[in-house]
Amino acid sequence: MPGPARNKSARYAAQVSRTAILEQLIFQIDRAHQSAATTYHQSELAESSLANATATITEAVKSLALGDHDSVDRLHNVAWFYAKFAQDIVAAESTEHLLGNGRFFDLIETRSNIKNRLHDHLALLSTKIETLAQDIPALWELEQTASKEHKDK
Amino acid sequence: MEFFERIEHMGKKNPGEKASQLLSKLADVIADAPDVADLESGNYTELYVMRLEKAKRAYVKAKNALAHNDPQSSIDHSQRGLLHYELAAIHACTEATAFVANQTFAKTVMSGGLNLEDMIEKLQEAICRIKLLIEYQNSSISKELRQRLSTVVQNLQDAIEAYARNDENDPTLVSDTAIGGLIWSQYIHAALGGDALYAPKQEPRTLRGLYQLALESGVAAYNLTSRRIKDARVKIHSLEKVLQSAIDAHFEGDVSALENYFRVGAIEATALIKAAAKAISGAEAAAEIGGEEEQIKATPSFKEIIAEMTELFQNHHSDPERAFASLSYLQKDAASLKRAIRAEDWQTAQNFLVCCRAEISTLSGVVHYFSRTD
Repeated sequence: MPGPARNKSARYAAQVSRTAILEQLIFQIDRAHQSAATTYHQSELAESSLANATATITEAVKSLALGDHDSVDRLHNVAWFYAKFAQDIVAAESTEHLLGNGRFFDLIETRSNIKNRLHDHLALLSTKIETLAQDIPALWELEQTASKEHKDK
Repeated sequence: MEFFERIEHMGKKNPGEKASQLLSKLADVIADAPDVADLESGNYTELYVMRLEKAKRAYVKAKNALAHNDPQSSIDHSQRGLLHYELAAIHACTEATAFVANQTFAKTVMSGGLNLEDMIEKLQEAICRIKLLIEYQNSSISKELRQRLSTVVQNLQDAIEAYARNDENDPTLVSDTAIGGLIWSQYIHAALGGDALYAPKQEPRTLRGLYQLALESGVAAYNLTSRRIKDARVKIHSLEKVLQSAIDAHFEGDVSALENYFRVGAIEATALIKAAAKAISGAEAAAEIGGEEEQIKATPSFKEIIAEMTELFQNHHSDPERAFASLSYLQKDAASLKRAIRAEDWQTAQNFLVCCRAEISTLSGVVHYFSRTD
């Protein structure tokens, strides 16, 4: 049946082309993000979105090779969502870098942020314990009290 | 063999033969592939190299499969290898200019003219607009609002994952998740002092009320926090509860409950805005501001710090059990230490002090290795 075969082939060609376009888009955004990361700010969310986009393209290539065209269309959209989100974050941070005060807001808690918060909390706990420790007489005082009690007996 | 079987058999290639043909074709294209040095500079050469390498790896796998008498696997690998090569060829001849892309490729239209792709993109746009607003304002965001925003970002991730799964058993999961995220985005943007993220009148009819309520609640929350009204947190929490209940009623299709929440929410938000305006102009404002500042400056209690650390480990540590155990022991030992000091039982106090210091040292180690292990 030449008709459907031609349609299938046209769809395949279009999907190959879209895969390439998306891959190039992800590559461009990744470059922009890497440049921003070395110059002013590294966004973990943009990074993970790009990683998700790349993983989705890998899935799309597998589905395309197997001829699962409906799945490919959907995976293309998913890759696009991730890539576009990363692009928007990188663009927003570029605006802040160029026009703002360079105070970047991370949409998710970054690892370094979490670590700093844990450090701060730990320092607070430690201070509270050491404040309590000040109420305990020093060891030599304890010993003196003990020996005095012993003598008294 | 029957006539039709013979015809069918003629149309089909022997798998071994097909595998050999594809493998040979893949070998040819790889051999003829241009060298990187021969490509025009400025094209996507990195992507070309990456895809060509994948094609070569697929060739090796296809060859091995054929050698192990597995023609079907060999066919699969060869087809994938040829696809990698096709992609490599496109990258090789495409100039890497600044990329402008503004399209999704297929749309799933929902009832009422909404489509899933537009909803997901709209949520992405909303999140980025909130980020821009926070950076533009150059101010800090409250812990509660940050948590709300984290949930919205998670909604986006969930919506994309649900879209990718394309679960036919739950066709509204993507749209419901995206709508939830959008309504809360509208609230967060207003609570930060921004304009309406989306004008309710321009939204689909079924969602106008929710967008309006989110806007009113957000404006009220902004008034309460910016004017540092007493018990702001409690009042904001109450507003947020009404908004969440309205969202739930919308998803459940409970129209009368929804109307009720709209009414209650609007009344409460308006009353709070008025109260905030009155409080700031009245004599009690100064006292209230002082009270709120004191509340902000108060150091968290031992218990609160432990609770927050537990939450951080729970959400961000891959193996939090050790940290949980240390935090639990620390809390118990610190309580025993306090009791011993009150009772002037110095030897016991000294023992518990040693235990507390040891637990803090253990926790310090867990935090130190946190970024390396997770």
